[in-house]
Amino acid sequence: MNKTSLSITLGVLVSMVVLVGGTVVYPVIDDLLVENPFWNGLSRFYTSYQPVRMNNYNELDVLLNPRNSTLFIIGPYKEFTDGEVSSILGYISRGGTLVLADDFGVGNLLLESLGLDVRFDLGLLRDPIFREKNRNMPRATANLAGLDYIVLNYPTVLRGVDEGFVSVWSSPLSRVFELGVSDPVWYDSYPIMASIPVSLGRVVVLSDSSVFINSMLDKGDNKELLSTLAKGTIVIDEAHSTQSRLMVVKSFLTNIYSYFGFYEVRYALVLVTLFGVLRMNLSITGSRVDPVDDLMERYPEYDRKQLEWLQKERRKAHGE
Amino acid sequence: MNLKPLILLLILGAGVVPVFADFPRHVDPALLELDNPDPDALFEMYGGIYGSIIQSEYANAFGLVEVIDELYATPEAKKSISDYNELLRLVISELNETEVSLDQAINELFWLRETEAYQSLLEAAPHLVNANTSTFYLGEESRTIARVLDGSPVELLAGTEEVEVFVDALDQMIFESFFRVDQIIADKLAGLEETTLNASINKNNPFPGETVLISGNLFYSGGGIPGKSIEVKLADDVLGVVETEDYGRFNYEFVMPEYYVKTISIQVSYWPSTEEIGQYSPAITRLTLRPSFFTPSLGLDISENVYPGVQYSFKSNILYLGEPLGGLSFIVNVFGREYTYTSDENGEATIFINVPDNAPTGRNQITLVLRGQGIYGPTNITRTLVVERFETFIELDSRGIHLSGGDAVISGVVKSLFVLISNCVVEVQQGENRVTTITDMNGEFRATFPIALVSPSIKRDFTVSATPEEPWRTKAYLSNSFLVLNSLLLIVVSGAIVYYRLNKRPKPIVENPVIPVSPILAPIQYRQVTMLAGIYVQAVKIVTRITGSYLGPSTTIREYLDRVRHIIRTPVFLLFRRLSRLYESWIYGRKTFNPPLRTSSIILERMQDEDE
Repeated sequence: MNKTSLSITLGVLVSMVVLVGGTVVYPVIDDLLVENPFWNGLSRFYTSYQPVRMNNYNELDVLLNPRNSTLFIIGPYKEFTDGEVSSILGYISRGGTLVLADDFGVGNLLLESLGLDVRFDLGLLRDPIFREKNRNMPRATANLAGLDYIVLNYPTVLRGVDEGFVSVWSSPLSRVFELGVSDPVWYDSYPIMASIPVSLGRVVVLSDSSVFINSMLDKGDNKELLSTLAKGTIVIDEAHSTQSRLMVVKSFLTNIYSYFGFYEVRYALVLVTLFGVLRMNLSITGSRVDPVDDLMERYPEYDRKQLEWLQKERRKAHGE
Repeated sequence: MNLKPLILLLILGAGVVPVFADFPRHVDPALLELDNPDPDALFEMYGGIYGSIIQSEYANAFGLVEVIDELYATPEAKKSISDYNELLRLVISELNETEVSLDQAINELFWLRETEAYQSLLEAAPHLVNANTSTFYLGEESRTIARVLDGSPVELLAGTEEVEVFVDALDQMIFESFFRVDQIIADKLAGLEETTLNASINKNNPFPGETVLISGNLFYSGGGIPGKSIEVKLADDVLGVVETEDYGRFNYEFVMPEYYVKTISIQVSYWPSTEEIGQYSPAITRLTLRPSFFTPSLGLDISENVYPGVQYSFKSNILYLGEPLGGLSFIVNVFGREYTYTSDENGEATIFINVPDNAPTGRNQITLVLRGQGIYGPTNITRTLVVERFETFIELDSRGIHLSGGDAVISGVVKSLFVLISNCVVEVQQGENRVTTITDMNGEFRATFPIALVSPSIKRDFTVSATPEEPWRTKAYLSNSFLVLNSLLLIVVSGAIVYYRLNKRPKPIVENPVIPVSPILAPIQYRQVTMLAGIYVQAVKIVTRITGSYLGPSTTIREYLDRVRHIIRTPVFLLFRRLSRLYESWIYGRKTFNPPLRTSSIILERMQDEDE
C-alpha cells in the first residue's frame, strides 16, 4: 500500500470515527424524548424511573402484569394505527393504567378511538393570578393526597369529562383562549386531569404535555404527581414522538452497536481487521539518503554530473 | 462565526413544534418573560378580601393578602402591590383588634361587668381610628396600583368604600356599647352586688377512693355572704350542694371515684336564686385534679426465635408490687394483628401467636398494651420477636452450549440445610421465556424452552427463583447464563471448509505477465508497450555489442543486468540499469496508464551518446 492510498484510508477511517463519535456525543434535542437532557426532554423522568421504551406496540400485548404497570404517552405527534389502539385497549382491559398527557397533539384521536367522551379542548389555558412568572405557566390545584398544586406550561383543558373523575382543577381565575377568538370567556375553574375507569384498568388524561419535562419537573408538585402516577412497571411510548435526523442516526448506530453482541459479528470484525493489517505492507524507512551521494560513496569513479542528470530525469519520470 | 444563536434557535424550535394549533406545546421557562397579573383578575381577588373584611373573616382576608404577596410581577408592580398589601394588612389587623375588644366588651356587658367592658371599649376605639386612617390611604394607593397595572381603580375604590362603611358600623357599635356601659352602671347603682367565689382542694393528686376536701368562701364588696347555696360538680356530675356559713365560708368532702381517669375538673358555683336576682351576681370557679393511679407491671417471656407458619405460646403476667392482678384485659400487637387476653387469678395469661407465612425475617416487635382499668392506670411493654427462616440454595447443573433450533435445558437441585427440597416451585426466566416447574422427590428440576433456528450466537442470561412449599424456608434466587451457537452458521462454515478441501487446486503459473488494460484503451496501450519494449531491445543491443553477452530467451531482465554490470563502462551501465528497471517495473510492477516512454527514450539516447 503506497502512501497516498494509506493517507486516503486513514483519512476515511478518522472521518468515520469523528462522525460516529460526534453523533454519539452530540446530545439529542428532540421534543419530549427520554434521551434529551435539555429543558424540553424527559431525561430526568427516564433516570428516575428507568421506564421501558416502547417503539412497537406488540410489546404491550406480552406485558406480564398489566395491573402492576403504567403506560405513559406524553405529547404524541403521530397518529395511532388501528393495531396500536387495539393493543392499548387490550392493555387497559387487562387492568393496565394509561397516562395520556397531551395538549395540542393527536391525543383526541386516541381518546376517540378508545371510545371515551373526554377531549382536549385545544384552547390555551392562561391564569393571570395563580401562575409562575408568566400567565402561560398556570398553577392547578391537585386534589390528591400529599399534593398541593402542579405547574403547567402552555396547557389546554379537558372537556366532556365527568366532574367526579377530575382530580386537578385550574384556579377560578383562569381563562381559556381559543384560536381566533379575541375575547375569551370569563374566569372559571377548568378540569386539568381526570382519572377515568375503563374496563379493569383506567385512563388518566392530563391536559398538558409539559408537566414532566426536565425544566418543569421541579416546579410545584410536578415531581410528586409523577411519583403518584408512575406505579409498577413503567412503560413510555416512543413510537409517536417526533424524531430528528440526528436521533434516527443515533438509533441506527445503537442498533449497529447491539449487533456486536453477536459472536459472528465480533469474530468477523476481528478477521477483517487482521486481513486488512496483513494486507498493509508498510515499509518504514529511516531518514532518506540522496541516491547520488550514496552511489558516489560506493563508486567514486562514477561521473557525478551524469548521475545527477539521471536523478533529475528519474524524478521527472515519477512526477516528483 | 458565532453559532450560539443558531443552536439556541434550534433548541427552542424543537419545543415549539405545533401540530394542530398555533399554540406552542411548551416554552423553555427560562425564556419566558416575567409579566404582571391581569388587573381585572387581581382586583377580583381584592374584592374577595373586602368581602372577607366586612364579613369579619379576618383570617381569610389575611390569607388572601398573603396569596397576592406571592404573585409574580415586575419589580415596579410588585412594589406597588406590596405597598398596597401592607396598608391593607394594617387595616385588617386594626379592624380585627377593634372587633376582638368590642366582642370582649359586649361579652362583659352581658355579665354586667361594666368596668371591664369600659376598658375593652377604650382599647377598641383607637384601633378603629387607626383602621379608618389607613383606609383613607388605601384609596390613594388604589390609583397607584391601577396605574402600574394599567387598569381601572374603580373596583379597588369601591372596595375601600365598603370598608369605610364597615368602619362606620363598628364606630356606631362602640358608641352604643359605651351607652350600654352607662346604663349598667346606672342599674348597679340600683343595688346589684357583684360576688366572688374562692375555692381550693386539699389534695391535687388523690388516689382512687381517697377523700378530697373542697373549701372556700363567697363574698362581695361588703364581705362574706352566709346562707347561700354552693353547687359542686365533678366532671358533668353534680356531687352535691353546700350552704355557706359565717363569712361565706363552706367545706365539702367527696370520695374520688375508683376508676382510672387522667384529669378531672371540679366546678364550684353560686347561682342567685329567684329571690336573689337583682341583688347578687352569679360566681363560678373551676379546679382541676390530676388523680394518682396504680401502675402495674407487665411481663412477657420470649424464650426462643420463631419460624413462619408455626404456632407458638408465650407466658405473660401482670403484677402490682409483686402481687398478681387477675381479670385484667390487655392487647397483644404482633405482625400487624391484635389479640386480646385476660389474666387469670394468678395474674398470668398464655399468649398464642401464629407466625404468618409472610412474616418478615429478622427482628419484629411484639407489644402488650394494658389500658387503664379500675384503679389501675395504663402501661405497656415491647419485646423483640426474631423470625428465622432456613436458607434455600439453588445448584445448577452444567449449562453447556446450546444449538439454535434445539431446546435449552436448565436443570439443577434445590437444597436447604443440606436437605433436598421437593415440591418447590421453580421459575426460570430467560428473556421472554418463562417456565414454571416443581422439584421432584430428589429436589431436582428441569426447565426446557426452545431456541429459534435463526437465533444468533450469543450469551443468554437467565434467572431462577425457587419458592419452597414451607414458609420457614427462604426463597432462593440465582442468575446465570448459557451460550447459544447458531446451527446455520456452523453448517455454512463446515460446508465452506469441505468445499475448499474438495476443490483445492494448485495455483496456475503465469508464464507471461498479462497487462490488464481497459477494453477501450487497449490498442493505444499495446502500442505503447511495444514502443517501450523496442527501446529496451535497442539498449540491450548496445550492451550486447559492448559486452558480448546476449540476452537469452530464458534470461530475465534482472539476471541479464547482473551479468553485465561488471563488464560495461560505468555510465553506460548506469543508464542501462535505469532503463532495465523502468522496463521491469512497468512490465511486472503496478500498472500506470502510460508507460515511461519519454524517460526511456532519453536514457536510450544517452546510452547511444556514451557508446559513441
